[in-house]
Amino acid sequence: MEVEMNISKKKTSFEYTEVKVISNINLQGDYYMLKVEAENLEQQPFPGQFYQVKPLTINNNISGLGRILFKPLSVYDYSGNSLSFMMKVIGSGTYDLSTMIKGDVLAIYGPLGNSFINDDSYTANLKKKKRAVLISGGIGYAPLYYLHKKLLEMDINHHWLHGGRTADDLFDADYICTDDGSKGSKGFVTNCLDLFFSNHQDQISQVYCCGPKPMMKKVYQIAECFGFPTLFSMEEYMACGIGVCLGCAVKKSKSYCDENAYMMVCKDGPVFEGKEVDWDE
Amino acid sequence: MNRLKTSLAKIAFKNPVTVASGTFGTEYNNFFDINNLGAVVTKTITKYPKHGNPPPRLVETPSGMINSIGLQNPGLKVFCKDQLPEYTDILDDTPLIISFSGSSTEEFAEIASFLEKQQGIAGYEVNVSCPNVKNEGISFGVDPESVYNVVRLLKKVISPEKELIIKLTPNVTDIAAIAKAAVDGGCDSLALINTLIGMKIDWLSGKPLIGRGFGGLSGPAIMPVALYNVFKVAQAVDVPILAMGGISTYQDVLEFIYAGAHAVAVGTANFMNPMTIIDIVNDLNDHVEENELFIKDLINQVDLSN
Ligand SMILES: Cc1cc2nc3c(=O)[nH]c(=O)nc-3n(C[C@H](O)[C@H](O)[C@H](O)COP(=O)(O)OP(=O)(O)OC[C@H]3O[C@@H](n4cnc5c(N)ncnc54)[C@H](O)[C@@H]3O)c2cc1C
Ligand SMILES: Cc1cc2nc3c(=O)[nH]c(=O)nc-3n(C[C@H](O)[C@H](O)[C@H](O)COP(=O)(O)O)c2cc1C
Ligand code: FES
Repeated sequence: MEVEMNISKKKTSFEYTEVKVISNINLQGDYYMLKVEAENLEQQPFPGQFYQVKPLTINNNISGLGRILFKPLSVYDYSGNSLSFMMKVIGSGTYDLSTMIKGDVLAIYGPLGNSFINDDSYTANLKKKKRAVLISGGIGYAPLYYLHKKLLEMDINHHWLHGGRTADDLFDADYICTDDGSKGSKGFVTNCLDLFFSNHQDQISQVYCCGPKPMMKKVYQIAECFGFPTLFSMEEYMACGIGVCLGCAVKKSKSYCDENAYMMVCKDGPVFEGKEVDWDE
Repeated sequence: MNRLKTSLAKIAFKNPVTVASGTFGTEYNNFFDINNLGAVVTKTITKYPKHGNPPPRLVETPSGMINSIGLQNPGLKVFCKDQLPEYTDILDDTPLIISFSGSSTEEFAEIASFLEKQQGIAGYEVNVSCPNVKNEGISFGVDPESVYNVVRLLKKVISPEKELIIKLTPNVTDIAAIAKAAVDGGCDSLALINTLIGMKIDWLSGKPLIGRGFGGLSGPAIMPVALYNVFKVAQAVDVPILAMGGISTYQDVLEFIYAGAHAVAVGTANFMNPMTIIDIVNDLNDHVEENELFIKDLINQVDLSN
């Protein structure tokens, strides 16, 4: 399939809409799959991009004032008719989202932020080498799934490693592991990286990663040793999602600036090159 | 007939609804035409760029949020070169108000002189909730004398047709005393309230959920406090008030107008829904049309009889 992706880092076109929930399924543990109608969306999301979402009704009742902010959720899947978010309940905002049922109304705006896939020359370059590597931890699975789907469409060979705390945090991938050994191999996903990278030394074109910060830091350090280019989807608490409030700051690597400068996850990211980020912060 | 018309001392508003500094930008033009607002207020700028505070900078709280942005901004020069033209390009007859802050009385004046040379500015909102380096870092806004001195000096620098608004912090014992100092110094109008200092702690780890430990609380949670402060200041001084603090509906706007506001600003509610502010303008218009009211007639008309 021909590559039609063309997205620049400074993309700023987004829309606000109110969409109906098609389904909301408890996958396992605290994980849910929220699927909404997407026929009326004018913009097509790219892998790595996210939407700001907020329930307007829950169980067909108007949602109250208690929770005020929109929550950022990565695009898990998009088909033209529907848009899916995979989410993990961690607080009351995500809890509210998990209790929405078919027919409920979700306010969304997006697609926001940049993408894992930057332009045609980037994808052409990806194809030259043998494979890309996807590494996720827990809910970090969500943005990588949409990337995985697009890489398949573009016929780009890739290998996916996914780790979780327990079996409840595991989803389909080429290699899976858990901290407690309850499913897949036992240990952190980063434990096997040295070996995996050495075995595929000359083939790896790009490392994509999303997960808890300590895990991403470790992935960056190991990938750096091998000289592989890395892209990370970062997370920070958000309010506006569009670069206005300056709340979602991550520290910029000292090699890119002389002082304590910050980048905004919502506008400059959420996808950053590993070397752009100050991992010690 | 425009029933929503109102004004501060020098700026005429087509409707009383503007935005709170730091919660809005030209990005919102993606959602609606920002010329539908009564005025636009920019994020606070300082003389030199500021990188802001370490993360996390935000946390949601019941009906509100805490922020600790640390006045991150590109500095006066870059603002005038890059951001100011973005505003003036989009805005037609909608007044633009620039928010700024300084670390000494002289620095406030320096910034104002530089801004005076720019085009397209209707007035200034002066953020005095920042440390005064020459007064042991104590915030200007909590000390009547510091406020008086800043306002007096600014008055000399700013051309008479431009509005000089002083934005007050509620984190003081007597906000009316600070308001009086600003008015004595010669300000045209007052803006209030800035955020209330607040805190939230992760009850499992004992770690504050804001990087710097604490931050400014905003949103619907603070509205009753804001409303009382506006009422108190309106009773104490005789200049127009630009009121803010938790506004998220047109009914909230009316409450503030009764309490003494000439105009209002919507802040955190822009994050509650990007369309909130435009809904407020439209709902307010429907309300005054249906009830044949004029906003100007309602200002400071709180009914205290019983
Ligand atoms: C770009 C982006 C994409 C995301 N994509 C997804 C996704 O696809 N699926 C998904 O389930 N989640 C995703 N998240 C995370 C999700 O937005 C948060 O889990 C959610 O906002 C939490 O809201 P809450 O109201 O449930 O929790 P809150 O009540 O706000 O918080 C509960 C606790 O978690 C902490 N916390 C909350 N949010 C964060 C955060 N962003 N970073 C660190 N700590 C936090 C709080 O400090 C608090 O201790 C994404 C985040 C970002 C920034
Ligand atoms: C994220 C954020 C950033 C803010 N930045 C500024 C600022 O730069 N200057 C300022 O005077 N007030 C700033 N404020 C305060 C608001 O302008 C406003 O006074 C306060 O939030 C109360 O109104 P609200 O409850 O409607 O938000 C900020 C508030 C928030 C939430
Ligand atoms: S969430 Fe407001 S700037 Fe990123």
